[in-house]
Amino acid sequence: MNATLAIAGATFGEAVRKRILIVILLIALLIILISPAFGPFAGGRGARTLIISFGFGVIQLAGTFIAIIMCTGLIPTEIERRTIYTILSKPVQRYQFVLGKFFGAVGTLGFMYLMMGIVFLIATRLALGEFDGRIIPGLLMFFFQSSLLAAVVIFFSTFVSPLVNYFLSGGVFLLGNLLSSFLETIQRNPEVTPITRIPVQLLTIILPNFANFNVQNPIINPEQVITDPVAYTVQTIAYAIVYIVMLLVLSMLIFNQREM
Amino acid sequence: MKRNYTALKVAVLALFIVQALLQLRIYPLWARNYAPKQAAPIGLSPDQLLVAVAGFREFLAAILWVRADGFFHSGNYDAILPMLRLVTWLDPHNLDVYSTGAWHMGYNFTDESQRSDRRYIPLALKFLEEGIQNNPTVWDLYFEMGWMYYHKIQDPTNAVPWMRLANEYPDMIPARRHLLAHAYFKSGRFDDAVDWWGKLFLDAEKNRHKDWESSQLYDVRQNNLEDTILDILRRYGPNPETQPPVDLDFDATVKVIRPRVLLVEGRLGIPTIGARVTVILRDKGRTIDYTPKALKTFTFEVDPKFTYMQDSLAVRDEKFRREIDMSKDPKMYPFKAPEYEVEFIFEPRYASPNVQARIGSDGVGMYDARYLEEVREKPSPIEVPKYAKVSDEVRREVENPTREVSYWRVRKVITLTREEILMLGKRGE
Repeated sequence: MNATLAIAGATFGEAVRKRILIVILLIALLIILISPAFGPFAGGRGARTLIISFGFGVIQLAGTFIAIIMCTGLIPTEIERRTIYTILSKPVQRYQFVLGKFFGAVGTLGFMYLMMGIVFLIATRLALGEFDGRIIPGLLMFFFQSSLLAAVVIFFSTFVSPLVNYFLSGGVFLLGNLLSSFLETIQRNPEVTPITRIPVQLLTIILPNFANFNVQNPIINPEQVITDPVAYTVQTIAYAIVYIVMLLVLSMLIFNQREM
Repeated sequence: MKRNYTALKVAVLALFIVQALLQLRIYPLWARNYAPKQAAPIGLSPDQLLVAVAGFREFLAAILWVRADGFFHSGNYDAILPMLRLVTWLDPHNLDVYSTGAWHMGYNFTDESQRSDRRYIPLALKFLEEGIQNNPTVWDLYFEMGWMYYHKIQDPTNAVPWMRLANEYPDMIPARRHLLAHAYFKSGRFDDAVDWWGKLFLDAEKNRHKDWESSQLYDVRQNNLEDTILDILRRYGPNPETQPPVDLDFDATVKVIRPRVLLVEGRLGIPTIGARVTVILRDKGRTIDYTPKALKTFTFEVDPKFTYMQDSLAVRDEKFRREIDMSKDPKMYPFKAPEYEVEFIFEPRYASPNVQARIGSDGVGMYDARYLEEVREKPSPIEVPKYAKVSDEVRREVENPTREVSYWRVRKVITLTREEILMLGKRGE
């Protein structure tokens, strides 16, 4: 456990010093800060919609970029630099290495989300004149979405090159965001046959479903009455944790068998 | 070591099954609460689609809606319709878009003389129905639908069930609850109107000393309750003011004075001001079905071959007369059918209070030897969304309406041919 935490701490320290990640974070913070400037485009409720949806959009996008860019290089860089031999020559198991890398990445994501979240809450408070606590669950869900994405990227990084990983993870994220909407659309269309529907249904079960975490709409449109929001949040977080654990176990299996 | 791997592989399989089960549980909740719900993002440019996918759905929707507002203020009404589709796809819970969009379709497409293009009204109803399906737990769009029937279509019978649904929601704006009582009264359900005013009055009484607004609400409801009871007693009680009936001696004529220009005139023997006669010109044997179910799926297209004109003529000194010019709007009045019916209707449900005081809001105090007819009707059944927060009683009532209402009206129909309206063979077209 100590070894895992030590690797996680080192990963976190290294990640928060990475210039590209700091640049992404600073740009996101700056954009969130200026988001109240969109208010005058639309009056009243329209202003609220613009500001909150824009803020959420920026945070989600920044979180996605940070997760992919940070995690793609976590394991391959260690192999490339040959520092992994030094680490594994110590009493560190390979699974501890993978776990440490993942927890370090999640810690970094948590730190970045905390920064963006605080700035977002301040910006909305200044723009709308009220503190909207409903934003926090939305941010929490995005954090789990990014953590799941980080697990996907780490999983791929155990057997593909970083360049391929960028596209592969990006593709999985895109698909995982669209599949539920696509399934919903075809389920509403009576002309769609089971031959089309069943493969889509299967894919929504197999691939990580990132759309589950996009819960910002009722926060943006507060009149909405959501059915079982607590059950939904708990199940979605449980889903993220189970999927992450599955991906980490798979990563360990692959990484264990990899010759170095 | 190998055994451990097997255990891990089994663990992966077990975790996969657990996540699949969780996903199967999450999906119905997601579909109910968070799904976009519209068919396809047809019309989004690739960059807009990318922005939407990148997590800016609602932001893009809000920006497009601002743009649509710009189109509205510049009079570019046609450009707004596809924007409505895009915005509701991106953000199906934006109530403003549904209510404003339906209002736009129902009210703003007009001819040169500010007569509404009523072919758009079924589109507005379908659009609102879609909004209700996407937002079943909010009262606003039920109210908007009721308002469309009550005000634009002037069909209080069908306004009632939608208002009933809206009134089921405790957060409905108090003053808007009054409209159900007005709709009851106009549709001839006087007992329900009195009951509803009574209920509203008692509700207001509880809070009458809370603040100025509550006290105003109490006064308004008290006045309305008293007026409603008095109106009913005066019109239908002992020695009713609506008797003996007024002989309307109704008649109407239509003359084509120029191609696509009609002169309509006639007589209506109402001995007071405030009566209006509705004139409708439409393809023979065809009319507009004002129900959301009239359209199978939502579309922004109206039938370009269908001609439908509706106007309202003021009666002064028991006469009415107007020149109706349809020559400047060939898109709205295409005149493609071989024959047309010109329909003149006077019905008292939306007449002014002084007219209703004499003949009743259901026409019991009017008589006509030739054109008087009784209309008996029930509201169209409504398919209430599964997740609407309404009581079983109201759900049953609006899904299977049984209460029939009736009223009297005078109606005369005159048939014209296309040749006559276009004056073909006289001036040539």
